[in-house]
Amino acid sequence: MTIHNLYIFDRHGNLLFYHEWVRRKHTSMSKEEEAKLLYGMIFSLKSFVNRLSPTVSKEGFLSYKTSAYRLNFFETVSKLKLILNTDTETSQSEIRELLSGIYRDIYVEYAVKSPMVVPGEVITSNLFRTKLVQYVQSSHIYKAN
Amino acid sequence: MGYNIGIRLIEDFLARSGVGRCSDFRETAEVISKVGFKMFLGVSPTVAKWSPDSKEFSLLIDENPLAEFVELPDNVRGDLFYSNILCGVIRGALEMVQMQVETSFVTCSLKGDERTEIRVRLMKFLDEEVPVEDD
Repeated sequence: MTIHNLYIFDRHGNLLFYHEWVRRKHTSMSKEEEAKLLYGMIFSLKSFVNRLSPTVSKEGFLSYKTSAYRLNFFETVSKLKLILNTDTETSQSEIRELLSGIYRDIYVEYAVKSPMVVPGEVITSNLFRTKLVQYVQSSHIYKAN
Repeated sequence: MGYNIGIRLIEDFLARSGVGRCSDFRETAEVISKVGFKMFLGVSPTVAKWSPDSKEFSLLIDENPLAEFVELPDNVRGDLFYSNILCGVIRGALEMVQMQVETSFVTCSLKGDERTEIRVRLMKFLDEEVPVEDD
């Protein structure tokens, strides 16, 4: 599976973290604008999806797929949002496991527990970035290219 | 101090316990005592004294691990709630999951009461923020 990029947003919509692995096309806007656009879209999608849902369910919006990529969405009970863009092939349950693993083993360990990381601000910690990249690249679904 | 601990602790708690969203305040109370306290302090307080509208409850702790080897000096014995940090933790953690609560100490074993009691009152549920449009 090719992983393209990862965004982490907090409960207020602030972009806490962004990392890119393989991205061949960029948008013409600044990173902040792109993040705001993405957050707004996800927020609207979630609300839309819940309203039109034919059955009562806890989860709601999980991902969308285009011919070029799949956007995977993971939200915790504390409203932290992880958005991962991948290729279209990998199984969704594996991606969800990867995302929940990123939350549990990387975010909680190296961001929440770090005194240098201020809630609501961009995570600048190099350790966090290194550990995240290591974790993703050692996952059995990651394909280097 | 407890509040700052609480806002971070909730992420650790959610990641390790994997519990989903609670359906109502009663379930929240049970999860706090049976899962949360157990995970971090190793004790499981009793949930009791619910108010008739189910918005307030008490946590009764028989053995408070924070106070296990502590004796309060005489000059503060009347005033100091030694484990008030626990109130802050509960308040901070619940705020991160969209509940605004008020917490207070009712009795404290360090002051000579037989057990420690914390009262938690739900003020309101916090709604999800709508992102601001600015173009």
